[in-house]
Amino acid sequence: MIRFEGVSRSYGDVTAVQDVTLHVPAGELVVLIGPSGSGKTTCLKMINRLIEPTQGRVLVNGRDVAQTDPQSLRRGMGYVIQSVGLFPHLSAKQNIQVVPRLLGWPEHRSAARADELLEAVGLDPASFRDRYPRELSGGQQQRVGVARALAVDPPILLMDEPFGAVDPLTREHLQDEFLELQRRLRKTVVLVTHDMKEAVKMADRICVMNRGRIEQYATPEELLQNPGNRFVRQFVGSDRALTRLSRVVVGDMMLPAATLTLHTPAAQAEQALGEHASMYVSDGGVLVGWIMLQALLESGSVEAGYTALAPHHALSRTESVREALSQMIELGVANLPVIDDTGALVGQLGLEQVVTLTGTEKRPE
Amino acid sequence: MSARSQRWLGLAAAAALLAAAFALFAQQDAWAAALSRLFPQQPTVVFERTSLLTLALQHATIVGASMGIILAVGLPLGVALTRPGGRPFLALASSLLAAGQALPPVAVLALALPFFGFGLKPTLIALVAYGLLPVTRNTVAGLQGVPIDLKEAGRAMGMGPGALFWRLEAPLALPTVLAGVRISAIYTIGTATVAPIIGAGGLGVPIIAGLAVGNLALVLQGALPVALLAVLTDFLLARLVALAPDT
Repeated sequence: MIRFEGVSRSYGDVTAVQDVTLHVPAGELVVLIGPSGSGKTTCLKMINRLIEPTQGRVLVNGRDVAQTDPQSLRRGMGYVIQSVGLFPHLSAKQNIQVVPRLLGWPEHRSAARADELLEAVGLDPASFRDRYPRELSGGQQQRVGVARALAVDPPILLMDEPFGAVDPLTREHLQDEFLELQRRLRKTVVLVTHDMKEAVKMADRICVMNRGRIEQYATPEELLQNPGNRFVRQFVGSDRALTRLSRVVVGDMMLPAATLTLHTPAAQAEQALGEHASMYVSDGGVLVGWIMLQALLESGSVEAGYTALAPHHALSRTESVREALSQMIELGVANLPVIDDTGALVGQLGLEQVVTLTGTEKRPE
Repeated sequence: MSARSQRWLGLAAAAALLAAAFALFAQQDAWAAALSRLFPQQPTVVFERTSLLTLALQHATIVGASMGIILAVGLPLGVALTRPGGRPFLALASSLLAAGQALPPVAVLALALPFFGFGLKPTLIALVAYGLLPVTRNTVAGLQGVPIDLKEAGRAMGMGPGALFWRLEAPLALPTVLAGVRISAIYTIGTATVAPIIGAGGLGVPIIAGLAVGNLALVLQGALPVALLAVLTDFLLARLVALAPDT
């Protein structure tokens, strides 16, 4: 879809980008990451000709962008930057209509499209379409920015630190929402950031850049597991093992868990507990607690001997293993139950599985 | 009522006040009566050869023509000086415009007289030289104030130079430009009182006649309407600025 072939860009004696060769496959989200001055934004801007390469060429759909009219090229690529990118004198709706208007869409069509997109990014059109950027929170502005970039349904999205200007909590939300949107839309996305956590969370592939060159271009898993050189190792951080855990969800890792019910006869429970150190207890299909053999023997029944478990001490399948590990450490336990929306026990996750994951195994199936 | 329609109402009210001022100028006898009260010893309290309304309309014509030229020259000049081709001339043009404003209009009149003779032409030259700076300078400042990031975002969305100017730069610069027009208009209304020196008429006529014979009533007959026009025009343009989209 997008291909850099030996691309360099220099300003006088200063080389901003040096001999970059890179392929961004269609439908993938590629993150360009690196410290300031690494050339990542320059690379992004060479895709839509805001900056021209001094050497090499950039191809989009096999066509050299230098041979393409810049205005029609850019109208075919959504562009999202930090919230400053919204036009302050235009309402949310009018901001979204900018590119449709340039393309000569009739008003009713672009207005309908604006409403549709506001809806898609989670803003109620009726209350948001006529608001001006200054009347929106940072997160809302960013949503409108994404909606504007998607206005004419371009196959390519270019995003320059799109979630940089909002608070960490909002950033997480926006990232989740964008990933959800991306799962449906399958755009070819090039995203620039300097936040490794964001890169690992969002990317299909990560391109680590430093001083105008590519240090490593790989999937997040590969990058975290086999950093190609010292720079990449430093850049991904010494907690890269933990970062890897944030790519895996509990549902993929959990093991089946046997349960007792409150009314399991003591003898049967004793036998089961002979095989496991402890077991979870449910009542009417809902997880209520856990029990150890000693407690059963002392009290005489499951109902009298089990320890109740607060619902927030259980994991959900969609949580990341990193979050699960944090919870284990916080609670001082080596094993946590996994429940579904109804509270029913669906599995368990133990410290052993987490450790296996961070070891040499690539990814457990 | 929405904030927007309230602003339109404010503009309409300002226009109505300005119209009412001209209706007031038509009451020649009322002015004479009022000024006689203030100056009971003075036999001549109003300028008699030309009616106050005629003088006010002459004044409005001089100011209107000057402002027309100032806008026709100043706005495109300000735009040109911020385009890539014009930027090298920005410093030079700023100096020339400042010089134009530094020259006293009376001196400009005297200098223009040998070339253009008596009448409207030299007056317009003096007023335009004096009032061009605020309009041009604010046009430049307004356009330079549009954030680079926004212009780049516009370009990145595929806006050409025309779309970029009309849909982004011009609306964002408008409040600053209008502020310059406002300053320029007030200057011009006041300064146009020098016009009678070379026979171009206007509200300066009774002022200069009054000064020549030491008749303060006549000076007031010209000065009060000038002040009223300046205040009401300022009010009208302020309402116009309020109509511009705020950012």
